[in-house]
Amino acid sequence: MSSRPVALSRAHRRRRTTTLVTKIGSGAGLWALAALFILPFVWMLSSSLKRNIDVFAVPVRWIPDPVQWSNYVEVWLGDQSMLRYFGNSLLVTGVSVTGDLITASMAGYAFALLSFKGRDKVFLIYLATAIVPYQLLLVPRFMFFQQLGLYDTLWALILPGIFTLFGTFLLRQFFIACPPELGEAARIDGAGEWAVFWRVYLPQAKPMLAALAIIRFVGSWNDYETPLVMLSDERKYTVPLGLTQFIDAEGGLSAGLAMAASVSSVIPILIVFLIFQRQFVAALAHAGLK
Amino acid sequence: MAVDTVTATAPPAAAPQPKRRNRRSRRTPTRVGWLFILPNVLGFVAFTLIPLIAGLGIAFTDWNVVSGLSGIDFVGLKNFQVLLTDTKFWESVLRTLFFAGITVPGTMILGVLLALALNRDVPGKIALRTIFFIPHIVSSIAVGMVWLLLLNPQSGVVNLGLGRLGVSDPPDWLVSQTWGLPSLVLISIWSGVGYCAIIYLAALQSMPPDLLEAAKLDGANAFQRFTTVIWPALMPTTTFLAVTMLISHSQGFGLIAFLTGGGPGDSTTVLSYYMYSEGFQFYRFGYAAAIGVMSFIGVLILTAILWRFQKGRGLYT
Amino acid sequence: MGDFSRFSRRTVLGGLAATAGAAVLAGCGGTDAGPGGGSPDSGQLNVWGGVPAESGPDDLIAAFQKEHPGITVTYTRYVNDDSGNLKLDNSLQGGVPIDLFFSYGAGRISKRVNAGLTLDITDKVKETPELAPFAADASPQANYVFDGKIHTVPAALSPGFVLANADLLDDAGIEVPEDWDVNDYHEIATKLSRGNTHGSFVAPEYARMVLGPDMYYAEGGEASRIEDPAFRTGLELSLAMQNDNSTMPKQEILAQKLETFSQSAFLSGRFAMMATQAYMLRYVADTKEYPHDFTVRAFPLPAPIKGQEHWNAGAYGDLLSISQKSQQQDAAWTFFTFWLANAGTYMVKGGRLPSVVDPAKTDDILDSLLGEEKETLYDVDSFKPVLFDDTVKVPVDTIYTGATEIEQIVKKSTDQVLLGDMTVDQWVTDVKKQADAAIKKG
Repeated sequence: MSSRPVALSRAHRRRRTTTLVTKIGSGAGLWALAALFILPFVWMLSSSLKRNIDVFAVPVRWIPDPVQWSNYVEVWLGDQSMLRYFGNSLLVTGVSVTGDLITASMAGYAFALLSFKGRDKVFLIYLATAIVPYQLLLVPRFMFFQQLGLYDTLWALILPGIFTLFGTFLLRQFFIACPPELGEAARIDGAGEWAVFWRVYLPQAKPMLAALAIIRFVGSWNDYETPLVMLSDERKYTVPLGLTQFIDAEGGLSAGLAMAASVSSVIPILIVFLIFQRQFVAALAHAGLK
Repeated sequence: MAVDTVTATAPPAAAPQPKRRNRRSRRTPTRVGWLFILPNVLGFVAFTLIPLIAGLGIAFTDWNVVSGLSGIDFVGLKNFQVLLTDTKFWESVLRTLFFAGITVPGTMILGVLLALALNRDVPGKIALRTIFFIPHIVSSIAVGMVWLLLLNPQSGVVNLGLGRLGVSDPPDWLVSQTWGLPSLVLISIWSGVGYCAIIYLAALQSMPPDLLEAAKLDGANAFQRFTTVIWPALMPTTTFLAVTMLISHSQGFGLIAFLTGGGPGDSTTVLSYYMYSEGFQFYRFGYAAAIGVMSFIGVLILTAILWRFQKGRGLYT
Repeated sequence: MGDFSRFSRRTVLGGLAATAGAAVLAGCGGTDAGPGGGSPDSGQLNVWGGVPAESGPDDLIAAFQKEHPGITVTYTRYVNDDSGNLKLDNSLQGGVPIDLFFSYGAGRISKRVNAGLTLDITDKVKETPELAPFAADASPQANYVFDGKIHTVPAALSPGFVLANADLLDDAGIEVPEDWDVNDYHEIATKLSRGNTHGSFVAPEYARMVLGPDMYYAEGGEASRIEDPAFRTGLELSLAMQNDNSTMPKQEILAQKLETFSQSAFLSGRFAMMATQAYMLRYVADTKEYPHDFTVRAFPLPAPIKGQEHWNAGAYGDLLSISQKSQQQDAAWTFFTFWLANAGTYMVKGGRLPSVVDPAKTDDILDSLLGEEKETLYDVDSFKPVLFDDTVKVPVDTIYTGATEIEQIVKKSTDQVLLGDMTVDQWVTDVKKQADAAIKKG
């Protein structure tokens, strides 16, 4: 860089101004783009306050008239309240995502940074399995779970969710970009393998764990196919399955109610999002990068 | 779980094997490594691998679910022989290649750009990150309905806008044989970009800051910093996204089922939808499984290519 | 580092084969307990059906348990779509306790019967006088008979009829002739089309009304009969009606998914007439969700050819069967007959007309179907003749080879014709070829 202090300071000032301009510019640009992405949520919110006949009216009317607050009342306080489904979903999603974070980070770490016999073979099988279309899994899994006595229990949803290829693969790819020297240094200081993983590497992975938690939470929370095939007792239904009560025998949809339930169903996801976003920000501050 | 300290030297067993890289040449005792992966591997074998193998086996049978285990009729390679001459199958292979070939790189390029933008100090950063992820969160009916509204040939915003710009004969989008698949590409990119961005963002934020500082001191401009420092460091994440998106786009059919049902004609029948029709609608599970196996082989080959590509990029130079 | 190149194919295949063995072992040894009779007056029954519990089944079951305190009934609702039916098939096959279940559509039930999932109830039906119309040798055929045996009885009969916006008809001063045919229908639809309102939703189902049961199959079911002129005439009618704007354009229907949401479009006055079945009346009666300010009137379906006898485009539905694996087949039969006898009392509010109608009760059924505001919502007198007409012939299909696929081929190709991507001639050649192939595939 220039050795003359004056030039440096001028360049510095200029850079600050441009940064401010780009900041405002990119902010405005991003917000404009964001409008296109928020649209489905707006549609859902608007439809959740409409009568069925208005939901599919063309052209769409974004402001409901009349506003049908009763949709929410019926969804929450009606004969078939969503409350129980929420409880089930929270249980299933909470346990399986927590479990997945633990097993996936351990396995991902080992696949990336430990070198041991059989490692690559196992990983290859993992990866190959991920590629097999999941529809192929549905029927055999049903038959298998039936044999194990897991059919129509929440375990049928929780157990497969604890051990996912997705999480393992994601974290393997993360750890593989981590410098191996960190661990070596700790080992020289006498740290055990577990300590190296738990104290040295895992804290590094916080943002990625947060991303995994968010994605897996959404995936598990919105999963429709697995509970559909595995559950029959309505008291065990999760939220997406509970939404089927708004579909009548001819396939017609009580769209207003369904959307009121869907909007309610998004709220836990948003909460999780905000919680884990903090993790992102905390990691940022921790790393001293601004 | 507690793991004892291990020696820092490579065990003798590893010594005779020639190593391509000397990085991580130190071997962990097998027991330790396996202890780490064991919880996941056990669950994986029990709940995924075993059912999956059974699923693959279906491809060699003539089976519909209703006839049960006793109704399984092994037919060897018959399903595959039929597939080879099935024009619908090959057409849907081509459509899948077109669909995934544009959607996957498109989503990733936009995703990384979005992640870079969101990594800066923009006003309302947290809200923005959430908003771009919305297509991934909300009910698929909402996503589908919004795009039906936007792309409506007569009253949709897109065509009204094109009309303003003087386009006299705008496409019919989802109800057109020519534009149906491109419309789905567009919608898929839109709905995947936030997901890509979140993962890229996490990778960006765990990047060692001294790396960037060093690049800054070298006088590199933003573009140079990106190509020489950031992008190579993102390579494992990119591979992950490329592979997982390739997989999900070769398997997903929910949006297609809702928006076009594979039509008009067969113009949006991609491989996954074809498999779905054959299996879940026509109850030819053996044939559907054979389509699944072919799709598996195809994605496996593409993944292997991606893998080589990643390695060729000299990740650890 | 996952080093792809280093693994031989043999390693992978070896691994797969080993686990495949394990899977087969794990998959075998299902419950093989033989079916049993049990007692007709006690037991615990599991019933699976597609109608939401609160739209009738709950009430019917409550009434049943009052009459048969020894039998407890649990109703499980499954969504009647592809995945929901897969779940039912899985469960029936996998030994989930199900005693009775409903199937929707001939294709679905035929698969279940052929797989041996249903109990042969031929003799039981024969011994029950109320079920005489559904016996194996009944004429006209009102039941699905498999190799001369009865495995199911339809609990619902939904004749097709035309539902019209009476206000639009009266404003235009249109009298619908009693013996109207499709040309009259077309003409009236044209008169009713004004601005954004179309006379009809889609064209009448011409081919089905001419050909009736097994419309897609040539004699014997070994080939299709798409070359039958009825298909061409029907398609040309659709095209003509779309061209003069008397039906909604296909493009609009697809772009707004109106095939799924036709009730919204009809009740907001976007078209004046549609061929439909009784379930549509439930939306008409639901003035909270579907408020509208016109009355509706019912007409018989227009004849394909004036003065000639023809088939109705409606269907028998709600096909009730007893599971072959049920341990309580006698109690199940008790419930079976109860459902058929009482569907007219409890299931009508959900828009389902019973297949067994007590002539003395038609007024009650009609009242329950049309709801509380019937005087303002309906031209009440027009409904009884179309809903309870003994003379209409509702087709019962007997051949199902590749039926779902043929229906999909016909639908997609018809869409293409109406979107202008295919000519009628191409339609005939293409659909013929594909339908024959589908039959061959089975």
